[in-house]
Amino acid sequence: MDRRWDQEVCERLVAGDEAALGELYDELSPLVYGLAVRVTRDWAAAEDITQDVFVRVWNDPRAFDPARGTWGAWLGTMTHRRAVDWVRRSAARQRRTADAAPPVAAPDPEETAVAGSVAKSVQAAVDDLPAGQREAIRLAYFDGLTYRQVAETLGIPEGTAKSRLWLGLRRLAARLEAEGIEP
Amino acid sequence: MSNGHAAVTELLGAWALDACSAEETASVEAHLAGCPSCAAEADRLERVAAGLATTVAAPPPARLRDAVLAAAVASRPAAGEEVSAGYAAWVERLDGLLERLTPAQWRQRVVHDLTAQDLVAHLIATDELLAAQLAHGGAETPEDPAELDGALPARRSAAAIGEHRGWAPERTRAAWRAQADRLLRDARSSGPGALERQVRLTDPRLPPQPLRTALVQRLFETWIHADDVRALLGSPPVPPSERQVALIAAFGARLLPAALRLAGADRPPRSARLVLVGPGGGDWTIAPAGQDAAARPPDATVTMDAVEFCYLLGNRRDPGSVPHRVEGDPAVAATLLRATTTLGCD
Repeated sequence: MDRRWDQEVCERLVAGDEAALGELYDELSPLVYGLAVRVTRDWAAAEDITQDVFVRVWNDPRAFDPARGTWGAWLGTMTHRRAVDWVRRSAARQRRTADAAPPVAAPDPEETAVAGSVAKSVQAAVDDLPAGQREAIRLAYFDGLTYRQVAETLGIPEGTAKSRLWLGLRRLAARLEAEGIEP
Repeated sequence: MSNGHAAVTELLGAWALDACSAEETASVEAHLAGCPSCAAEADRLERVAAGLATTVAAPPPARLRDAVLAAAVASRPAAGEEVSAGYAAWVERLDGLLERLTPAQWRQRVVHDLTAQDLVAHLIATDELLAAQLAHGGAETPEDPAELDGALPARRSAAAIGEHRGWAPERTRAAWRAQADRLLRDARSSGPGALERQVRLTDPRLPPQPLRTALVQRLFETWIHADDVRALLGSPPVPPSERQVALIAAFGARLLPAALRLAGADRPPRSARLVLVGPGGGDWTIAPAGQDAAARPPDATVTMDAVEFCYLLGNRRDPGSVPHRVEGDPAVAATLLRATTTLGCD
């Protein structure tokens, strides 16, 4: 998938070409849905988020700027924001209702993950992070915790949580850039 | 900036992972708006964070695809559906107008020496050029050089007019309507992506276009003839909707370079800027294929009303007298306006 494709899909979406949305969906719905399931651990919420992300892109394709990154990165960012919002809203709901049922547990999608070559490189880079950074990033990104919650969970100061997230991401960025990988 | 560089920098990782509070997120983003170096770093970290998603990719249930695409198109109609619905609406309107014609009005001259019945016969002939391509399943017609004959539409049209003069007007109307309905059905039934297939327009010498562009031409011609019949009935004109004007104007702008080439008016190469004002308007640079339009200023800029441009495209306005404003070379502008009238229905 090259940058020309990102650009072309964007232009076709702007022109109202439904087939372009189909292509984008076929290419990236596993990324969107897989991430939404992992963060929310809720099938129905993940489907809602997937639909919301693609409908949003269809309605405002110009919000995507091919100069700033790929469709994958853009949809990943949109999906994560929605999934995290859902987790925080649902946590708030549960605090309000004492008898709240736990969310429907979804099987861990990491087991069924689509192992693309980019995914393998990213996974390898994550595996090579210092354990403290890796764990902080996992809690923040995949469990949707704030850095304060990360600090609490790991029993570390908030400042340490912040810097582990920052240093970890920078280390990942440097390694993937060195490998020429653009997720 | 109340939130200093250092404070924001140490939050950037958490921000890229959506791990800040709402207040912190707002203050980071306020800082990013005014700090290019932090914004570049934020972009970089956000891209890497999004890359983490690749490690948990998992295909959604198959049924979700149709639901998502349907919800998308329900919120913003696809261009193809917009065009076919617009064409269907004009077919309906023209049919309603034809229903009101008396036998005497059917035989009355309407435009260019054609009676109302002649006009409908002519429309049958031009619709048929597209309907036949769709009926053959593949819109991709074999490249037959004999078919690339600019006189073909006029010949077909003359033959249809001659044939229908011996018919009862109601029969002509029914034949047109049945073919238009079939054309729409074939265009719509071919599934997603079908509207991107290449087909030939009325003038086979024009470069092949996506089916949806050909449907804009059908919409446009049906509107023009509905307007002709409305004049015959003494009813005021009804212009296309703003969106339809925009589609028709874009159709004209897209094909003008080819129309100029066919008219032999592309040497020496000139470029013009076409500014259409009012609802459905827009701004286009009309330049010969292969010429970088941005490379030099246009030789002329023509400004006119978008609906008037649509009438000009239908050869229902005189290029010499249609209200317009020219800046730059008047000869380039006049050539452009003349070429516009050749893209229509006659």
